[in-house]
Amino acid sequence: MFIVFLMMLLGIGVGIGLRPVPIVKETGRLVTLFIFFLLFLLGLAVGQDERIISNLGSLGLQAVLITTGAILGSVVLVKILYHLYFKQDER
Amino acid sequence: MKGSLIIVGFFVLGVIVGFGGFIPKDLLHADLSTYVLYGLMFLVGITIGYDRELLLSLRKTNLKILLVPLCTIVGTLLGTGIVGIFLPKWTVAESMAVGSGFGYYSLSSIFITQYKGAELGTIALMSNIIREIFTLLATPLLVIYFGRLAPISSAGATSMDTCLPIITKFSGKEYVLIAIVHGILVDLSVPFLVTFLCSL
Repeated sequence: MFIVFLMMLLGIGVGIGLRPVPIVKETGRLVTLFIFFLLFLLGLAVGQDERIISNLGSLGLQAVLITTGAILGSVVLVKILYHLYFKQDER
Repeated sequence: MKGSLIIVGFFVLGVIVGFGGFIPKDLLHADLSTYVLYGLMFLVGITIGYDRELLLSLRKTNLKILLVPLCTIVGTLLGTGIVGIFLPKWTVAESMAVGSGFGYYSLSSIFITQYKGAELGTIALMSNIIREIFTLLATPLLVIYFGRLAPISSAGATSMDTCLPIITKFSGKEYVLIAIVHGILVDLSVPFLVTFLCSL
């Protein structure tokens, strides 16, 4: 899967080179279209897989659990950081 | 928020088309999504390279600011790792890979589908959308209980776009630059962390 990063690096180089070309500014819209298409493909894979369809509730519950861990973990660490280094700067 | 609805719309459309059997299974080759992903990453690269401001704002950062994305990444991995211990179906690394989307649901779910299949990809999509929506709704409470950095950290990669207005309002203007730098760095870490954790 290193090709993925190669493609991104290649894109960054091309992007820097194309800075004088104004139309390149609209690349973001193309990115959005690609994302829509890929999520449609993901939906397609899910819809064709009966095992996933019949488990959507359970998958949602697992998603909620993982998100809870993700958010709790980060806000607890950042609370410590805030009290150590940031709070004193406030007037 | 409108963006999330459209994304979910395309996903749901795919589910309906797939479930209804409107497209024969063999018609869309599995390699198709791989090539579209390559194209997507190339385009994402162009948007990064083209954006002069993006690279410049990274130069204004100091060490203290860099600690915020670091805490977000480490805290998310710790939290999702602990949850992963209790999920019978998935390994700790797989749970951490879902967390490594940091709210960047489109890209992370695409990557995880590619590496681990549509089932974990669906969890990643739902989990990271929940992260964004939760931050949008809970920011005032997060500031009260976890301090002004908390909404930025909770927003993850979305602290520089969808969640930025609400962060500005409740954390204050002096936290806008932190939120933007945080969003950029966490955003850039997504493909690398997800790929690494899925290869374990």
